[in-house]
Amino acid sequence: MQSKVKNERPLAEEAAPSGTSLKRVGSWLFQTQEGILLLIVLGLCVVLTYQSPVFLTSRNIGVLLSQISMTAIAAVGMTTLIIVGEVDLSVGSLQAFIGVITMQVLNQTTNLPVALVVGLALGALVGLVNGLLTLGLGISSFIVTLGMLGVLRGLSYASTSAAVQNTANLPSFSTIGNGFIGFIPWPVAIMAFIFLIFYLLLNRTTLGRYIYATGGNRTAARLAGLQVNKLKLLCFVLASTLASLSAIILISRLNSGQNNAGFGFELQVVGAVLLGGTSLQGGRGSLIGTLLAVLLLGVLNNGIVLLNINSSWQTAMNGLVILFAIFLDARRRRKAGEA
Amino acid sequence: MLKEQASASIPILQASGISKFFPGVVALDNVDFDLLPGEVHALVGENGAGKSTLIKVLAGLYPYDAGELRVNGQAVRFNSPADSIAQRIKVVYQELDLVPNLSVGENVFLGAYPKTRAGTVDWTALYNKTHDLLEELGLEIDPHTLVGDLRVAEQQLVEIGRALSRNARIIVMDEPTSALSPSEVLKLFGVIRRLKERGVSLVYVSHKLEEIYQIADRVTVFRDGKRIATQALEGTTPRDLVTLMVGREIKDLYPKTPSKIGEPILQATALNGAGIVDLDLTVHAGEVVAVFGLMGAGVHTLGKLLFGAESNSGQISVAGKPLTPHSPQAAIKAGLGLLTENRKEDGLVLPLSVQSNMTLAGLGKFASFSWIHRAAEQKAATRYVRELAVKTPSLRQQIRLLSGGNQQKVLIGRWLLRNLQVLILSEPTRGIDVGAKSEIYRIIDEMAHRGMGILVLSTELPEVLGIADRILVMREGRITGEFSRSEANQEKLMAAAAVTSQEDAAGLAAMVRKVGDNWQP
Repeated sequence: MQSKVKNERPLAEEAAPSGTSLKRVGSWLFQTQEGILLLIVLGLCVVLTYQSPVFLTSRNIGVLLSQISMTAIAAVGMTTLIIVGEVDLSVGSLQAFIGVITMQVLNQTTNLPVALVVGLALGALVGLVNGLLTLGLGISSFIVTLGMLGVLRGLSYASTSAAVQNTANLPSFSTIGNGFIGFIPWPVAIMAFIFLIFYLLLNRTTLGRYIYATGGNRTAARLAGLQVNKLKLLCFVLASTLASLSAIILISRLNSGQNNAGFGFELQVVGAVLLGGTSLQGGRGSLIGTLLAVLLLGVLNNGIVLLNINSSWQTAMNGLVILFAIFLDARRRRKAGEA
Repeated sequence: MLKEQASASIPILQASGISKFFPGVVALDNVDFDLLPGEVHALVGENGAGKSTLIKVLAGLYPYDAGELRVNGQAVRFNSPADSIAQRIKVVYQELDLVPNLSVGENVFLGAYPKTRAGTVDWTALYNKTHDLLEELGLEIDPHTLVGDLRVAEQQLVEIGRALSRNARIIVMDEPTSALSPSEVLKLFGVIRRLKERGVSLVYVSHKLEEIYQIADRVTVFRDGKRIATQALEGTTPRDLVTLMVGREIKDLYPKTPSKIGEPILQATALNGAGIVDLDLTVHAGEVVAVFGLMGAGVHTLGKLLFGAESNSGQISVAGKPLTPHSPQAAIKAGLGLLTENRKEDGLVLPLSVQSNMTLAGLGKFASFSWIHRAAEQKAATRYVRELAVKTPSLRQQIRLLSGGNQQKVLIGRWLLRNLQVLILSEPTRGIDVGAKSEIYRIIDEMAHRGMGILVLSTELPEVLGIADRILVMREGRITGEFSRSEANQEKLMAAAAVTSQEDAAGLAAMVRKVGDNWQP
């Protein structure tokens, strides 16, 4: 409506901070949460390479990545859920529950696809219940999923008194957690695939944009015509389904479904998401940050094992990392001038 | 200068050469300011001009980096709010700091409860003193009422009562009327006059010029952290003031031009719900219809009802087609858009960029099977950023870093991008600088020229008179008057809108007219 346009440069080009590309990389590394995480991960890797001859072997790296794949897969779903403005604390119990159920179904049917479908669908159903309770009753998802945490743990204990051993002995089942595609472990390949899909979903699709918008301002999103409740429900389902996928990888690696699996898993997952720069207030977050944070936790734990440090420190270390994440978030917000 | 005329009295408060720096910003640049005993001194300026910073310096919240403060001729240094309070200065902020679950009396004396000889709280004295204070202000509020049960206007007066209980001699009010109805504003002005009689000096910060003309003796204009002028209001026209504030002359605040009015494009019949009663409404293509009402008349609710954001019964049709169901999705699909009165709460998605905010409602246009075609999205966003002259360094800029006026333009762009038929704008210029205001009005005018139907919902009388082809007046959820542009004037609208007495309506209208007339060519 302003008749004459003086500035013909495309606006988006002006977005990049002025300066050389080297400067830009520098400011990304030192000023964004992702950059700082990457620096810390690389620093740790350098230290561990010097301190332990085992660290930089392909075997150790493979083990390390396979171990973090379960946290990473669950954290991808959790990132999506936290961006939309909700949280799921029941993923640890869900991991145990889906583990024992899937193992039992596999033992009875000796049919892998059936067991996988049952496990994932049951996980999706739990997510649906979490979502419906949260949205329908207008209770905070923190409370609802805290309740679900207890319910699922109880159900896991009720369904089996001890670990459910793998009696089906299907080689294909064992491959999920322990096999290789070329030189890449299966869990790592699954993780990479899930990450790629969700990265594209969040960054390149309308669905992803709507998830950010709903988390950023629910009312505004609704008044812009978005179906905010359906979006939230979808994110609950995605988070639970991915946590169930992590459960299936876990039972394949352990060759059994254990009713005490996944204790504290929710802390690890939520902690990694927050450390990755996703805001608990919703509307802001990045999967790359989440992945780097999971990697950081994995390398730390790997280092603790390699350097023969008492493994009790692992738990404390995870807690410290979460506190560090909160510190980084507070610092960023203060810098940005948010309250 | 007026200083000489009033030379007999020493300023109760004198600030000289005050500067305040924030990283990268000079918030106050060598500012002088003086307040005479018993005067009401208005502070005006656009957002970010330095008014709030000066208030915070006076409140002791911001230590200043240079300059000198004198209270009653004595040099003072404020390092904390306690220093300011010790000088008997009271700042009444927009967000009141009262405790809602304590009584009026408890709040008034909070931190300084009268004691009995035994050392317990002397409740009788507390409530008696509160009663006397309120009476002195001409207020009928029971000191035992819980503050949370009071209306915002009354809470504000309690805050003033609290100031008096500490013998405040300087009271600073920051946008005190933003949540008040016109009759409550008149009441507040009554209290301010009583305070003046008691010799209290007031600093009155407001962007509503009509109020300033009603209540203030002198005015100081800020722009870009500098004091631009201090002068008596007598002999200063509103146009002069705005020119000082904006730094350039605004020729026409309301650039309304006649446009071709076509077929009915938005029709509502027997609309009921959320306090709206049996409301009928028609907006034609190319027409700007304004609905005016006082606070609480239901003006803002009307927008949410038409848009399906609040449940309602009645028929709504857009371009002849009935709207079912009444939901935002259906409304948007039919070609309706809504800009709510709360930009931050209901409009902006603060963590997202300018581009994402702008394309939020029309993103589907740039996507196939949910996959966003980024080039197309960026092209559309660029187009509307330019057409609406949004000032932003880039499309990726976070929306929260933009000024209110530019944020509002982005939200208008959000709807224009959908080629909609009718745009409902609720308080389109709330919290927006004068300069940006006239740009928003021009955009509204141009949208009407394109054949869109425009419905403006507003509690601002001058705005309604300035931009509408037709004005509906609402009171208690009903339409109580309809006026064409030529027959509408302040008195008629106020009389139709006000539940208060006839003379109140006349007084309110006169208050507005003082300013409004100066805008006529």
